[in-house]
Amino acid sequence: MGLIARGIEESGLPTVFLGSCRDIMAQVRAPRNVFLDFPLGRQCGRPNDMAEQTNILKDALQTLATVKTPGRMVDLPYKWGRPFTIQNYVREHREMLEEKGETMQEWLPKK
Amino acid sequence: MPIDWVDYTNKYYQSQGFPPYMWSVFEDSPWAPFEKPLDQARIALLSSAGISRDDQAPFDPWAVNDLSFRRIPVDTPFERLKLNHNFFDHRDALKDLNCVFPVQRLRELEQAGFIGSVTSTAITLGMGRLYKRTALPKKTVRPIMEVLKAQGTDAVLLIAA
Repeated sequence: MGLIARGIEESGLPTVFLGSCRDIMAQVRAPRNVFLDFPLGRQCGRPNDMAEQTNILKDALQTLATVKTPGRMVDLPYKWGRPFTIQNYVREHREMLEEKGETMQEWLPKK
Repeated sequence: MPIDWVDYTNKYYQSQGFPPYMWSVFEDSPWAPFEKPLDQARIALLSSAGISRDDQAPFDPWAVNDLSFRRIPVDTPFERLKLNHNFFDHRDALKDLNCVFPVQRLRELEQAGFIGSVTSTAITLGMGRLYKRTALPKKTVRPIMEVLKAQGTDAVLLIAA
């Protein structure tokens, strides 16, 4: 998605990139980056929390006007409220797949 | 501390026997100035959470090199939208698609006068693991730009999933 942000910007339209993978965002360097430190899958806030979602989007959109330095990263102040780590991600991701009756993907790319 | 996704992904790929992921790393960024006041700007939404409408081809939840996108009218009821994306825990997003596709919130921000307007069509992608990135400008960015320009877009909000 960072590459698409870059491509759109190169084609002449300003972009703002909202995401929850800070290190990946930092290295692909989209023009305006807004980082929300929530577990992946809630990049715009918690489900059914309209006020929080609205505030996150307002903050993100405002960077269109405020960020003047290409590649800038803006860290949003919202807190998930519970610690979460990569181990949480792995466990919750597996739980989700089990609920859906799927197993972790087994594939090797075609040549 | 934010999660170290690059390190995790590298180790995971190695443990699964996938070819190493070649990250896109840049030292600088392109720039298009944003010149309109936000409350007059027309904003387009792009989300890569694998969302499609019930009359469209669904995304492959285990997508690899999927450069396609879907056009989603922003007034589509959420009951008509499907989410197919197995690379993140989407259980919260299924309770409320605004978690990754905040189209209802954007429409409210238009009504509140915070932004000028939302384009009538949002754009969704699935992508998954991208190994064929050289095709991205022609196969994905260019046709997306046509959709954006046809709608008078002033700026684009991208939600990465």
